[in-house]
Amino acid sequence: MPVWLTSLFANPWMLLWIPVAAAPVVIHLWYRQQYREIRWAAMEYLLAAIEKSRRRMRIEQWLLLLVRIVLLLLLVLAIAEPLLRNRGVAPLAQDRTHYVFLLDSSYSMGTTDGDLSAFDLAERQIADRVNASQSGDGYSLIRIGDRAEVIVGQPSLDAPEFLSELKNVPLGQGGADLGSALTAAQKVIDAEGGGNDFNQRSVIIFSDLGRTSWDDGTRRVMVAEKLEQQLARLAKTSVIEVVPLQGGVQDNLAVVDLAMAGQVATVASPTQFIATLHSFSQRPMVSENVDFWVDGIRVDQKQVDLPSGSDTQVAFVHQFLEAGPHSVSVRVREDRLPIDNRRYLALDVKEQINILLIRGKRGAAQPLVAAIDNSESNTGRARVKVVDESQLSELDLNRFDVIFLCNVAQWTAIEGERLRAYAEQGGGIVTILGDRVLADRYNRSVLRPSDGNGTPESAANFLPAALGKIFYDGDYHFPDPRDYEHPMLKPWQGNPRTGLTGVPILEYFRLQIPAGSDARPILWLDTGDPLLVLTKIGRGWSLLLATDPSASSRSATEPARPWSLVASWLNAQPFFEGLWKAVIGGRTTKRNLQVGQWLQGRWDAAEMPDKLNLEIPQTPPLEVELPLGPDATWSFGETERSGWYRISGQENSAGVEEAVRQNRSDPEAINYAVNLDTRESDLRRYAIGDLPAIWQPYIRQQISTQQGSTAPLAGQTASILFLWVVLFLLFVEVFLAWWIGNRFA
Amino acid sequence: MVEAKKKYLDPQTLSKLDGLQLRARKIVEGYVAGPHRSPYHGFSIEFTQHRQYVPGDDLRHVDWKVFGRTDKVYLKQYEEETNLVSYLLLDTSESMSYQGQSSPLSKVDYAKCIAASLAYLVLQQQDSVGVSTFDSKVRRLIHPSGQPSHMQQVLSVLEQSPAEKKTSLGPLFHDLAERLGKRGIVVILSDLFDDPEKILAGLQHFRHRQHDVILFHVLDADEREFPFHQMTRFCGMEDWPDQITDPRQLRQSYLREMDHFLHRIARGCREQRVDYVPLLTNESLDVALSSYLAGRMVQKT
Repeated sequence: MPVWLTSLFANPWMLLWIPVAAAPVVIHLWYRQQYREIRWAAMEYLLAAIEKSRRRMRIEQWLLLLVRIVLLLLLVLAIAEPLLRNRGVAPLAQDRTHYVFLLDSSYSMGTTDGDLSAFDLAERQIADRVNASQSGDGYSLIRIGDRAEVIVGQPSLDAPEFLSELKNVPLGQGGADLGSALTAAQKVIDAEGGGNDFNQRSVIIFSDLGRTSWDDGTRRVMVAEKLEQQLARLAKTSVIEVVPLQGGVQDNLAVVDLAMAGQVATVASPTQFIATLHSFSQRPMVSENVDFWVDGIRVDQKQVDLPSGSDTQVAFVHQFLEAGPHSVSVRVREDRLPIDNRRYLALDVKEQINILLIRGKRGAAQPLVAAIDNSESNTGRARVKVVDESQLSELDLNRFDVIFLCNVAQWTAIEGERLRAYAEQGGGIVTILGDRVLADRYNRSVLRPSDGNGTPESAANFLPAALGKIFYDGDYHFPDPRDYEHPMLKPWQGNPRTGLTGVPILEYFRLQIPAGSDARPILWLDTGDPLLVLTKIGRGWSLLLATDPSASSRSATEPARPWSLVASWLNAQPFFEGLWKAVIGGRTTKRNLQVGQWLQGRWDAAEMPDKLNLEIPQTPPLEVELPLGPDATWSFGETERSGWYRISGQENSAGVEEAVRQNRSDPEAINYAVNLDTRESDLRRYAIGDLPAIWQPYIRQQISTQQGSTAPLAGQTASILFLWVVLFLLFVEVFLAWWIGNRFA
Repeated sequence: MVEAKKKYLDPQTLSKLDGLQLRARKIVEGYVAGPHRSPYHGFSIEFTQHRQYVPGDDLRHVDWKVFGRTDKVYLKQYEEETNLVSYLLLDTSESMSYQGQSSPLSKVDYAKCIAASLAYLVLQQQDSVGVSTFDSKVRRLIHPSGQPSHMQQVLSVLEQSPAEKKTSLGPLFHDLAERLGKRGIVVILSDLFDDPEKILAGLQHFRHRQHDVILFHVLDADEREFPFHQMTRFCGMEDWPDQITDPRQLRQSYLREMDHFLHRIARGCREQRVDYVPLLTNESLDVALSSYLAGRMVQKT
């Protein structure tokens, strides 16, 4: 049953009787066939009579026929109970209504049940409502996404224009924030303007009532209270209506995560990937194929059984042959909600990991070199370069993935800036303190939160914490990992014999994390002082170790005793590995985003094009031009769709010739992976009557539908009016029939 | 007895009788035995003149005495054997075959009954009667005769005149007017479904030839009243096209057309002093006989 019909008639099924209105025509035609035949002599006079009466007879017949047809038609319409809100009887109703349509555009609305998705149905229903409304009504449209987006704010009185706006509203790929949508609706109503004297306001929410979106209010007390206040305020001025758009499908399979097992991928050794699948189904799924794609080629497939309602991890191992950017994706079979059946991961594969050790004192880097050599040299995965602190200013830091500052006394402001820039672009800095360290010089480079007065932060700051006094009480103190929260501590969790908490530390700098800083300690000492403090700088990381793990730093009080005995600890190697792995992820994760996050970057290639081309994942792919900033940065804005965003340089003519000569089609294209927040993949929904309690008092009109039809808004039926007209026409028909019959009989 | 005979003036009864002769006899007997008496009082045969013989003349009428005297062949010409000549002109066009749903006889049968009755009556009165049947042209023509045996010939012509062809009265009346010899009473039996102007012109021709004309306008009651109530396909006679129509809606208009036609004919007849006698096939035939006898009286005087 078309929605517009249900909004026009209370009993639209009665309209199936409409063909009855053709009965007079059928009877007339049938009657014309039921003639008798006689031979007639006075034909001349009969023909003359016909000729003279033809026009009159035709008019009379048509008139009578018309009256009879209209009579039956009105009778059927009366039975179908037309509504006074219809356009046809609009002049009878003086009320003007401001309709505020709230359209859920979370990606679960893309679930198809049949040919149409819930989102398509919602758009149709809005269009039907608009078509069924009366002239003078106003329409506003708010798209419910992760944030509410007001598409049409000022009430539009032009239905066709409004419908064209509606047609252009895309289905989102995020969630749905009802709270912000209600706030936006309230603002739209408050800002109606003096010229619009609407008598009624109707806020109509079209949603699939997904539990993910509609449950938030009940799970979080603060949110619930706010939501209730919004509803209460809105209900004072408006009728709130919820139109559920639900198909029968609630089963869904989603790839909720795809990650690399380690921090860095190299061509030297195979890389392991972990895909996490979640079955939102009521029953287990058996033998589901999971495809593993690398650079657009399916390289592996696994069959897995998925238990209902839980995560399943599938591991894939791939040996990259070339260093550079690569695109990895995992796909499962497409179901009713295909958008979450793929997950993407962009990563840079390195030839090897370059680690720079800058030592401020001979021997300060020794245990680190030994540890890394032991673990990585055999595979060729890592290459270590050790330099003295005097060489810091001469090196191209970007060649290195991690830089260790080992007991370095100090650095110049320029060196500090270079280190800061290095970190911001994804590099990792591990600063190891020691007896050579000049605390006051170090404290000039502490990363501090903005003071709010607009004072620009120094470009040389990269340390996560300030250095306090050196702690020494003559006793050894031991690390306290507390709850082993950080991943670098995971190898020791549950294994007390590995000795993390037994490593003696005699002397250390007391670290002070600036108030309001994002830096956080990840390992403490039994004194309560932080031992390791980590912070994020741009896309990179900075880690500060409060003591010297090598034996190069000696206690000022007892020169025979080193600051710590970490170097002699049997498990020092994984500890040192943990240090560089904790900061190395910056360059690998910068090209993996979630829908809604800002897509931007720096063009690092040697050739600097005039402009960049960004290919946006949609059907067909859309290509946009991006200007390149003076510092080689570019920015696209908020991502709205999941998939691969491919950015490439728009080559000048010389570049094109070069590319042709070298037979390169797309020499510098880089993929950005944008993935969904898969919370919306849970297709469990509320029934209209089971909505959280805060909604119940405010929803005046609750309509349940399975096929996308809606019941009409409340309104008086015009049946009585129609019946009066039927009665009148009945008299007219009788009179006409009598008049025509008697006049000529 | 009178009642029994009078019933034969009723077409309903006549329709049950076989044969025109029987019908005619019954009609006349029924009529004569009725309240009207015959106005005729006998007749005589008198010599009038001679005329030159021309080949083809009947040798019986040669005056042999004159031939003996003068050696010239003359024919004796007499006053007619009767003192009155009646020409019965019967329209046998297809339209005359119409028989309405309430009519016992078709128009042509009704007209034949009248014609036969008149012939019978005329011969009974020792007058002479001639008969002609026609449609678009003269089909049969029997010159007047007063012999009692002439009746058989008349009846034969009447009975063997199927109503099949299209009519064309105007030219035909002119033709007949030329062909009818002695002035007398011209009795026309027709439905006159033709152009009134041409018909009246033809009648005028008769009048011009000094004939008294009695026009029996024979119509069926249906044609006069148009009593149809349901959708009807009217199949046109005489090549008129068929027409499917609802007669109820047409009735008034049709009657208006028919009245106009009848009025035109009646007025034309009045102007030309033609006795116009409208007849319906379900009416008693004495009207026709009375009209004729009235015309006969005029002629005798």
